[in-house]
Amino acid sequence: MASASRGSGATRLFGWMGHVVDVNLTTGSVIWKDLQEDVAEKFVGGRGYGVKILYDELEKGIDALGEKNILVFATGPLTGSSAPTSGRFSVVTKSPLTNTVFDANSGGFFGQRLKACGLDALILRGRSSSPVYLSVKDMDLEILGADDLWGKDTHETRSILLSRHGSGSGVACIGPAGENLVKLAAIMNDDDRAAARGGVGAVMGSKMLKAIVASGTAKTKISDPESFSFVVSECRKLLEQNPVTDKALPRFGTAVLTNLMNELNILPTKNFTIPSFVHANEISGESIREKILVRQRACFNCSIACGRVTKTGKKQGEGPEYETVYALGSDCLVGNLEDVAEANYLCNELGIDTISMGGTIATAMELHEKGFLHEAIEWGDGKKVKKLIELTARREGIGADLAEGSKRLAEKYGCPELAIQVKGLEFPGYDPRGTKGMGLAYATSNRGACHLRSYMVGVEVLGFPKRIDRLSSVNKAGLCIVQQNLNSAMDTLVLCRFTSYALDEDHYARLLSKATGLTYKPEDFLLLGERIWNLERLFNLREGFSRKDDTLPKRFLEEPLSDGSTKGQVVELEHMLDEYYIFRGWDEEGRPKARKLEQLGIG
Amino acid sequence: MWQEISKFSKKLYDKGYMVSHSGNLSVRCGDKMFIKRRGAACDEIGPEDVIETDIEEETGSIVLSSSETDVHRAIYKSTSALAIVHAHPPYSIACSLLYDEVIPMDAEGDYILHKIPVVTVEKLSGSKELEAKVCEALKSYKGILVRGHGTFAIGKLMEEAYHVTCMLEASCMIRYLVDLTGLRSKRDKTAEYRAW
Repeated sequence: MASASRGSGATRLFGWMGHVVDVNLTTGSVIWKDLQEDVAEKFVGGRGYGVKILYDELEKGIDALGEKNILVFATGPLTGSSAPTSGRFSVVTKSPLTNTVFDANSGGFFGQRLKACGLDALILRGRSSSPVYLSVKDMDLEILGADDLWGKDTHETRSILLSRHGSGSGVACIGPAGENLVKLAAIMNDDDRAAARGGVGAVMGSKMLKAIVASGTAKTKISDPESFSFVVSECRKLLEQNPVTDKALPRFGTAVLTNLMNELNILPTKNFTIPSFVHANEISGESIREKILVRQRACFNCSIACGRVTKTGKKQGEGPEYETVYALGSDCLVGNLEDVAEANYLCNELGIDTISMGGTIATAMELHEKGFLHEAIEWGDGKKVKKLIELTARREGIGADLAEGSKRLAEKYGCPELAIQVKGLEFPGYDPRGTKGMGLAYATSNRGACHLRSYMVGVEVLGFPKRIDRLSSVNKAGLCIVQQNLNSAMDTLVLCRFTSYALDEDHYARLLSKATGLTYKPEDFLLLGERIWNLERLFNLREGFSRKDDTLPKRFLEEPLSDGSTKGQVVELEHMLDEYYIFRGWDEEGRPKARKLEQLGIG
Repeated sequence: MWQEISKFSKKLYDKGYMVSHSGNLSVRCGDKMFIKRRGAACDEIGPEDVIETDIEEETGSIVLSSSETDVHRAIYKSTSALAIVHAHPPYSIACSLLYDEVIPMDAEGDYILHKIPVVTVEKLSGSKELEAKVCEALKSYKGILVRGHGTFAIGKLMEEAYHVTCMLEASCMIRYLVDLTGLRSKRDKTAEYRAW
């Protein structure tokens, strides 16, 4: 059983709870500490707080699945408040998939439940000798045996733990994929919400930690409740007046993008060899609504309710979202909606990131087509896709290779260029040859190919705040950087990215200021994001990453698209990258200059 | 780049927000900015009327560039702006002479701007005081008024800075016209947005 010691918890700050709990799973020690206020002011919470811990405490070059890696669960000062979408949490660790610093965040209710236990962050170290789970209740933390849970899927695990600890608890857990150290493994909460990317579930599995159960009664204290409520009401008003957050996402879910991306010839199809899919409409948000939708699902304090509870002939579950539609659908040439939805259900139950799973299977399909891989994995075979997901979760047969992700898979079978990844992370659903700024965003992302660091599709395709030429590579760096900084800062709060369709740094800074009683101007908020981005860059540089890694697969640089409005396009990356480094205040190799670090207070 | 500046300069001129040769626009590209040349007619900007200059350091291009170049440079150094519009719209200037701040009464104005601060300086053009006060205000607001002078608006795109400029003028015009009647507006957000 755990040994415990507590800090005083005497914090002068509002918003934060004032406590961090540090758990060593090797020794069983549980140490409650006071939140470092200076660090909280400078890095706020969520991704920022986690990245700061990782940068300060991780040794260079450690094995991400080894005992020395650290896994941080962190909330933010708005978590659990009346701010929209304030039930989220971040998971920060060194990724076994990318070997970069990595954060993944998730919606649902778990973030609110975790913070209600009276803590801002949970730091996990070491490795238990046998399966365990954590029970946290109002600043009491127990490490409990999980032999009976090991091997169970995420839904069953949650169900057992809720019956054991009360239905009002929050549960975050891994499935068989995490237990088997699959590098695509997710951490799942509230059944179908996922901190999905980068193999964070494998890190949890490497520590023999099956689940965290959280229940508490603590409330988030707000410094200026009246002003905070006014800003919240302004935010809600904007969210309710925005066509994306009030209409498109609630009505059709994120898969509302499917037909649009298809029409614009940027829907990745057949492992990004073609930019549109003849069966796109059959797996679109409109078809989901018409054919398999049971009801919408909303996360804590969210008016958008983009979640889709769906039902096929065989099963009921959640999804698919747009990224899953692309990854397990068009990218694998699977045009049957029930197959895509059921593949999504399987990933949720087994605890796997749908994007990386789909991207890896698409790579395997192309490897097979081109004769590099003998295993019969044919384009469009939805049944095989589901089988491969199960094999991957258990590392059986070809699943053992798929479990390593597309980069290692393609390298093993002798054709590395067929892996569509940056820094080892598989691509989301936007072909950068048709949205050039997104190409720069993918290449420069600190966690690999990701749409959540900078969503240039927003400005290049959707027109937020104004639409610009998506096929031009001129003058994209500044916008990309502002978005990266804003999103990094937003991840410290930890709010849903979809709020940014209606809100901007002004609203986020005001929410943060009114909640904490500290003053963050909009520019301070962006500077916070820039500080985090640069600290992540320093982490990656220490791990050996450099300009050579800020690149794209050869496919996007040298193979023009063959038809449609994006015909003939490739990404002209190098000059965008040069401009990006200048804008960032980095040298030609992508190293932050001393002056920049001094300006950000991390020199 | 000059085409972008020319296009929006012409639009602002046509709306009467920039008069003859007065007013200026700039766009940031990395550690450089492109800014309207001093003395160029606002409705006839050509390639030679846009000057490239450093953001961090003064260069000889100051000979040619707008008299507000240092203000633009300071804004880029202290905010995340990627485009700036400085214009002289009449209702905005009128309101800057009448009020210490303008709270929009129209729905679009309160939706986008919430509140418009008014900055007061002794020397109205190109001064260090103007730089400091404008930069400080733009850290919190996308659009501001300089008393008796005009507007400064920032954006991530030139089109956004242009949009903010238009909103500033529209909100100031409505505020001015309503106040001119001497009647009390049935929709007034002053109490709500004063603290914004």
